[in-house]
Amino acid sequence: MVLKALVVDDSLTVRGYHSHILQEAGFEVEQSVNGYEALEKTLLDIYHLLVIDINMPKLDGVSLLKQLRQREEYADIPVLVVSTETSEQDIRAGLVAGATIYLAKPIHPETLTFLVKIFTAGGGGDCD
Amino acid sequence: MIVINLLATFIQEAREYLENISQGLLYLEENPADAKVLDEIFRVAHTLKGSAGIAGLTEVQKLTHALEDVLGALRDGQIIYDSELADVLLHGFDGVKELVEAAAGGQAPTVDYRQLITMIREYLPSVSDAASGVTHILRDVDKDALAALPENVQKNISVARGQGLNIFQICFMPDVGIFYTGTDPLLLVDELMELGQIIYLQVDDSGLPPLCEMDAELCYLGINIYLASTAEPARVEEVFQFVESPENYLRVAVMGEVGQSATVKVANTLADLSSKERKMFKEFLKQQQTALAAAETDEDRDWRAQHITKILHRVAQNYQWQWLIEQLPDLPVKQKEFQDFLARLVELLSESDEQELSCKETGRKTINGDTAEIDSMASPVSVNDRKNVLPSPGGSSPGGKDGEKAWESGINQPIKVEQEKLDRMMSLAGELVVAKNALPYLVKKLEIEHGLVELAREMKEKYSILDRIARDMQDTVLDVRLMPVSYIFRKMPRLVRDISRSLGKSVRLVTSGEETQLDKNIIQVLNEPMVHLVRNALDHGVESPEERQDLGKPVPATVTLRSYREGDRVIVEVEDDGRGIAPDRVRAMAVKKNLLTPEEAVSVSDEEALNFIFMPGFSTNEEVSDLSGRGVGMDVVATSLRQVNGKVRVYSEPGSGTCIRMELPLTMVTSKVLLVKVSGQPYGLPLDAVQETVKLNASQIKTMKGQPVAVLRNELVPLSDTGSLLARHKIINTDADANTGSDEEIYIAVLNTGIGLAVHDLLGEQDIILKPLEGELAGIAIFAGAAVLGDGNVLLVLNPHELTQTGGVMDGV
Repeated sequence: MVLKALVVDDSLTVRGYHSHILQEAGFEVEQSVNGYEALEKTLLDIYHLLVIDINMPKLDGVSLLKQLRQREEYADIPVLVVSTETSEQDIRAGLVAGATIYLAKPIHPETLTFLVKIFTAGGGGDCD
Repeated sequence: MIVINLLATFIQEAREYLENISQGLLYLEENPADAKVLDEIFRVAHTLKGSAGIAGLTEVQKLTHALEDVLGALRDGQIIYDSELADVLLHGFDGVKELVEAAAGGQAPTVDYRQLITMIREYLPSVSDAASGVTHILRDVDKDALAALPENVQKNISVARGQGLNIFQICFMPDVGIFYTGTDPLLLVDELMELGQIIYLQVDDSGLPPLCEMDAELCYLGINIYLASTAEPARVEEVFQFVESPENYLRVAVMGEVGQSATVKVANTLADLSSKERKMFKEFLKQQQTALAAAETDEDRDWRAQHITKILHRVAQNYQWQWLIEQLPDLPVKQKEFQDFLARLVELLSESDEQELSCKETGRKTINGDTAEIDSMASPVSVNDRKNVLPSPGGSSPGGKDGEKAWESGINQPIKVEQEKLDRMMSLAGELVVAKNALPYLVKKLEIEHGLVELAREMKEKYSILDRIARDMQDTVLDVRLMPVSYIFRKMPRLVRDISRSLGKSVRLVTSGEETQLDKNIIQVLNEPMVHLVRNALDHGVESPEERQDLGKPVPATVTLRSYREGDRVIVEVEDDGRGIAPDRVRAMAVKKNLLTPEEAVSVSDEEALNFIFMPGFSTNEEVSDLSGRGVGMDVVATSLRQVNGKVRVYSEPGSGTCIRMELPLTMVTSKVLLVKVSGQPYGLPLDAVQETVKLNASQIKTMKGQPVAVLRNELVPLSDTGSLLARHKIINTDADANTGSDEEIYIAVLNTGIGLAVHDLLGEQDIILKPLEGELAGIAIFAGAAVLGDGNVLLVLNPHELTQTGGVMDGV
């Protein structure tokens, strides 16, 4: 089974960057430009991993997380927050909202690869 | 590949962001109280900064960062937005733009971003506020260096840590040319001494050249400092904020806690992981502790315990980490159990770090301590090795292997097409529309000449389908090429702002109809004339604030840019409420430039006189100004517009303002003509030049002062005889008596100049591709060009205004 990931960020560059890393790690990647769009997508499809930004228009990452975690099918999906907001307060808010881990932007490709693989038991390849 | 693509994507994105920011800033100048817009600018700048970091453009990142600080202070009400600050921000973002464009062109930037940053920071309320933006992500401690310290120093360090002080490991290797930037590294050391106690300072003289090669003005020395301080890491970084640049190597690390013992087992297991991964893993676990501590309800805590335990089970299985399998509690995990486990795990990992450190000292294993930096060194495990450790799927995901393709598959990615291809497609679609026009001729032929009525009917049906498809196709291709006028309009606020400031005039810019769409080629052609017209309006049209006050006119003056559709034409207007143009001055100048004789000058109407400003070499402003007017002003505008089959007129009321009205075709490729018959020969009249067509009896045509006229709705319409103008049979018999009682029908195409063209017959409208006449024929102004009709005949398209103004085909021949 191919694992699906959703990359949520308002920056085209960041979306492309994260998507590329995830694709290299074997994920089928889709993108959303804000939390609202991501929420819509998650209603239509199940993603096995989300990499989200915090500071986004329409619906921010914290609100997205809170809403996702309330839904049974998304309660246990690993959600990585990758944000430029790295104050203790921000990190705590992200974690309380349900982030599996909160990371600082920019994230090194190897770091992201490592994390998504441990969070999803080795990426797309190990799950069949 | 990823690097190149990343940069290209970033540049595309950055351009858009910068445009938005610049617009936002200009808007803000007018509406400083609009917090929403400020928030939006701040957010966009913030995103730009983040993206720049990922694209590896640190200069862009740093400059944007400084600007973001100012925006932040603005947002928090610490500083006030005035035009001076607007200048600073606009200038700063211009600098960002230049850096981005330099990166786009692969060139070295021409702006000194550090100087800009220094300038920008002057507008921040105070240094400590600036520090709030300084990155808090410090580098890891360089354990090699730490281990190499003399024993007594190491002891002092642990004593200081025992007292609860932060130990900062600072390594600063300035650029050799640092003195030229006015920075003295020793001053930084002084500043550090104010923060705490320097336990150890070591001068790094490894860069010192032989004495004979030494330049007294260069800096060859670096410093390694161990500082014990109660200060926050951000405060220490702040000391170095002005030397943070790629040239000056700087490394600041704050030491974490040290464990007492080591667990060899864990350390050995973790040897599978790079130091970066190990660090990440530990960070992940620590965050879980943070999250549990911060959680608001037991439910949340329980959720996290299950969530993380599940993940760790997977990790343990996946890596076959026996020690983790042993340690892991079973699901569902109890809260207390989970917290104990987490604490134990974190402790184990910290201990294993120590173990690593001691291993390294014995030279068994090298560890790279650098983390969290995108440009950090490669991990000790090579990428290929790692693929074995962390299995990747066998190409099972679509696009997973083809990195580039996958990269492109983003949502709604615009496709870039060479303009030439699009032009070709457009012209083919145009030709298709014209070529299908041949079918009605064939239908007629079948029906009349061959009597095949049934076949003709079927063919007619097929024709109507083909007709619809061809038109749809043309519309679609046309639509691809259409761009909103806003592409031009949105550059204007900045232009108006800069010019009006430099002229000391106060001007408000109003735009409307930005969404009106035009062909891309026309937009391109229109750009320069628009800039010219706006400059003119500001330079010559708008009066100084004092003058306006004296005249009782409102200050600021208003310049309006307007765009709207009118039939299949698009109108773009540039209007100002300035001093207007005096027709008499234009008359005088026209006479002076030999464009008019003094007699003619008296007879032309004011409106006609004004339009002489579009004649080549005409300029009423005798002074040559920086901004506009070297005599090559308005005629360039007129020429540019003529290139795209557009027109320009000026309307002005002395004392109350000027309006320049440009009329443009929606598209450049096909045009509609009215087919008229003159002496059995069809001619085309551009449809947009024709206001209406009427059928008259010859008896309704009168003669006034030897000129034939018709009365339409109580208005006198002077008539031109197309037949005689084209040296064919006369249509209107000027012999007044001959017309009386005649019921001969004459068709009149009334032009929008108010003149009626008499023709023998009207044949209907047609789409054509107008081709200019070439060679010898190109000089005949009365023809706008020629087109091939569906039946293969050549159609000459008339230039009605030339035709009615000159003496027709015989004029000048």
